Amino acid sequence: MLVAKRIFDFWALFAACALIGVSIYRASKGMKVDVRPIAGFEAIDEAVGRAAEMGKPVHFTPGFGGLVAATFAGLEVLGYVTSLAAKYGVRLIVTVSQPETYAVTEQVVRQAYLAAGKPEAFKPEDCRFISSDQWAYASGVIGILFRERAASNIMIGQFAAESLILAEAGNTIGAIQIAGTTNAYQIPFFVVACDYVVLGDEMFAAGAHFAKNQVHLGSLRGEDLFKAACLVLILLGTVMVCSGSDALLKIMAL
Amino acid sequence: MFIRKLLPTYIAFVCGTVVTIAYFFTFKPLQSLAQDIMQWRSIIAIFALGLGAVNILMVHLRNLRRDGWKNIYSLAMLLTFCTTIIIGLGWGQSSKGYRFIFDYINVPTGSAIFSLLAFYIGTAAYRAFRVKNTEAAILLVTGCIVMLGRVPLGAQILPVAPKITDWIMSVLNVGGQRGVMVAGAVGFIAVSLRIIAGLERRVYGVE
Repeated sequence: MLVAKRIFDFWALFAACALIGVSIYRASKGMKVDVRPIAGFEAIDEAVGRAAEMGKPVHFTPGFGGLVAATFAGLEVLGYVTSLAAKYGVRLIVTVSQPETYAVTEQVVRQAYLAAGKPEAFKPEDCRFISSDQWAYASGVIGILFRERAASNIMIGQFAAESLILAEAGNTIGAIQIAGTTNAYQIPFFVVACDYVVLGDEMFAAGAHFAKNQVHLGSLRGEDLFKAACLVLILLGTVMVCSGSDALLKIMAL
Repeated sequence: MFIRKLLPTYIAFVCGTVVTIAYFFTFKPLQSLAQDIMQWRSIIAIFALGLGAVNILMVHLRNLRRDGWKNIYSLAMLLTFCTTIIIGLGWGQSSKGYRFIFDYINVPTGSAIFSLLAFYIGTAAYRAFRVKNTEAAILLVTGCIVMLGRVPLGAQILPVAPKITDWIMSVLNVGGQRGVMVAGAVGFIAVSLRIIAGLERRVYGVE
């Protein structure tokens, strides 16, 4: 028996999963899916290349979140950044705020170095757990940015109020900055303080953008189809409410 | 192979499916199992905290070995780390010493870092309001109207400012933010589905 007031939510989730699942299946069977270039992702090569030219490190942080979807999207980018750092011989410093994220992050970095054929380049002390306290994490990252004088600062993941503090610190040391978060309240801070911003759900296109992975490409297509369905529902709801009908509202409240 | 990839995939599938179904269905045994899974999540996170603590010690001990006592930050970090653990374990978290560390060191330093935001918002706003192109000009005009509409003096200078501000904040701003939220939520569903279905290898540290 479905819980009251969650019936519409269940069917909406079911529809989203079905659309994404079918799209992944079709993509794995060879359906062509195009991804538009995302400026923030395109700039990552430039950011790591700049660090290589300057002989300075790259700093990456997946933010203040635990193991949530935005952090996973950040880790997808981290894998690519690590492979570039290994290729160019650039030192990569990763800072993490949550213990459970730290365990996964260290494994992602270690594995990416291994896949790049340079397992010896992985240094456990450059993958740092800072603190699960928000402001201790912020001050720790600021300290690292200033002391290590990072040439590039990449912040992609889940961020909260510390976002502007981190972005301004990176700006002060003159680092090229690429940031991305799904937190709508923090995006404006990144927009004013960073060179490139990956806006909201663009983050989830990382796997499709970098690896051209069929699963990710299919998933991206499924997400877009469901977003189109949401848009139709919003327009339909607006028309119905404006014409005095609350039928859709009642269905959604089920 | 089994331990590194398959086992985590099976665990993620079972846990993810049970917690999701328990949220939607009134089936008591499943809801009880979901609660247990959530408790296990917290327990595992505590183990991960131990791993983080080892990393902190390793990084700062290495710094001290390299720079000696000159590295004041690592020294301060290790001293406070050890002091807090000794007082916490020896006298408990409600002891005077532990409360002192929390109330007179942890809270004020946190507030000091938080207060930096006030200054950074000023410098960020200055950069955002530099008119470099059409978008920046629109942002400047909108920003000025909102600032005027949010302070009592602004209504005296431009009487219509509060009304325009309310419209900007409740229509344009909320509309934009909801767009980001809806798209983000769909992305969350997709990532979660890939993890539960075992299609997201990176999270297990497997390429």
